[in-house]
Amino acid sequence: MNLFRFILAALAAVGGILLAIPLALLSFPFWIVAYLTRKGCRFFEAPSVPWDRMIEFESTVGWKPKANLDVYSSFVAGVFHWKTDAHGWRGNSSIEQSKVLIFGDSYAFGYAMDEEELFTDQNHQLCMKGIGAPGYNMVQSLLWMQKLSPYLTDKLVVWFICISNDFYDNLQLNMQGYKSPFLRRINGSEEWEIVTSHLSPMKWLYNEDRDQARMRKGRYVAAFGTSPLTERAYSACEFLLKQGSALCSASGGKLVVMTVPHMAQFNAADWEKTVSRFGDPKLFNRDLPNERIREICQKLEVPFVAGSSHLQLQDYILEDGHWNARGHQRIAEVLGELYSLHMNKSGKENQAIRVGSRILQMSQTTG
Amino acid sequence: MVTLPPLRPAALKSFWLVISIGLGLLSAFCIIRPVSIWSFSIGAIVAAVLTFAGTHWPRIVHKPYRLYNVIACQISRYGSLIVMGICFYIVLVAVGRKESTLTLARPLALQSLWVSRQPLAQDAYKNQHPIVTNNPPSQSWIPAFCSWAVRSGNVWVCGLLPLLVLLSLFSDEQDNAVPADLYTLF
Repeated sequence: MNLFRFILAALAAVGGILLAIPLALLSFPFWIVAYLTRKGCRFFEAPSVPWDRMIEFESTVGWKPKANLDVYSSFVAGVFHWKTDAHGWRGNSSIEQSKVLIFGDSYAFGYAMDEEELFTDQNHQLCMKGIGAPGYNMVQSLLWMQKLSPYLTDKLVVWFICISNDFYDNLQLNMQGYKSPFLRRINGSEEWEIVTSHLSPMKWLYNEDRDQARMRKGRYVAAFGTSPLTERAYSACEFLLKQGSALCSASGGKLVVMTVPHMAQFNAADWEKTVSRFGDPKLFNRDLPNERIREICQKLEVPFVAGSSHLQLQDYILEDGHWNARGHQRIAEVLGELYSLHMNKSGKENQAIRVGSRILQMSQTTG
Repeated sequence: MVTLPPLRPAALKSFWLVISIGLGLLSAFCIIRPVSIWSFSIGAIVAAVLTFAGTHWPRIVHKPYRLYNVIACQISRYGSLIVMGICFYIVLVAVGRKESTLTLARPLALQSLWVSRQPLAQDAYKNQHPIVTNNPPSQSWIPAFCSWAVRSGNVWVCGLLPLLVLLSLFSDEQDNAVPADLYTLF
């Protein structure tokens, strides 16, 4: 019987293949060109190293970039070159030398940008250091602030909040299978605690496809929605900002919070198209993250900067979502302005720092 | 895939080099008759001129690249629809004429059809299917597919193989919308 079924399938397949031959002949030249183009890319860009060879397990924050790297990584829009110092952080300056420390995720890391155009090294008058890694949530940023608290004295501490995912990821115990610290309510109360007891090099096993879909929707609902998840997310965020503010004050550093907008927020049509995947667009408020974080920062007396006031869609790599060279330049300028605004230096030094990027011309003022 | 990789400098250079060489060969074989050493020389000159132009004025490559990808996307879209239609409406309909091998278990009175779950070892979560192939991990899915077909007693699905290969050539992983999700961590 199986043989009969096989013969039937073979005959039907022969007929189907004969029908598909014209289509195959038409598409063959396109396939050849696409195949050769992909293969040829290897001659025009450096070979990239997989991510899991560039990060290592870290017992309190889950993972961090390896130290002393000089590698190329591929991403959806190409390949970028990056290096790390003896502690695993990018940038030419050391933590001790830097006057501005930026805590965050892949934006603080400078994902998708070559070393030469990293925002931390654009201003020659102001040493800056990014403390971040792709995939980090705000809990991990806070834990790094705690670990590096002796180095926060007399420094400007800028905390990047990635609007598109931080609020949700703060409540998740894994990031795509890698166990991460997260926030949990204490015994059903309104108080929060940081959980790190589950951290290990073992992968968190889960149904990846189902989790990815749930995660994408959860991130948008948490940041822009009107559900109980949104309230939990912002309550957790307030806890973290309160902890960070207290830590910086105790260490003698000056905390500034800055939100990093998602590309879809810049254009109403893109916004509506993006959120309509997750439900009725009327249930999502594009400006909610800035409004809520501003309220929290006002309560905590922490300066707040809405990134959307300084960035545009042209500052982003459209296929990827991270900043391009222009975006890094813009962020460097913003950080320079924040430093001169908040760290109370002399007028001459203030101006030098404010315009100290490579592109802008410096103007020297007397006394 | 018939579509080109996402727009980036290396992809533009590679694409233009392929097109230049292709047009050079076309010139050598088609435009100049009979084919001789002269026709190959002309073809080489055509390829060199185009490559030089693309290298020194990379902007001229952007529009052909995008146009090419638009056409390739349409071919990919309609091609995959046609191939799937052939699979479902010709091959599977023909095979469906033969009755199914699915046999239903009819329980006796008071007999339970409950089957207790056999928990998998942690390592086995990488492959949760009960039919485990002994093939070493490889980049091609074809040996695994054939192995599964033989082991599961569904050898007839091998008749679909040429059509599945054609379908894989039409797969398009590009998404032109603003990415809803950001991370490319791993």
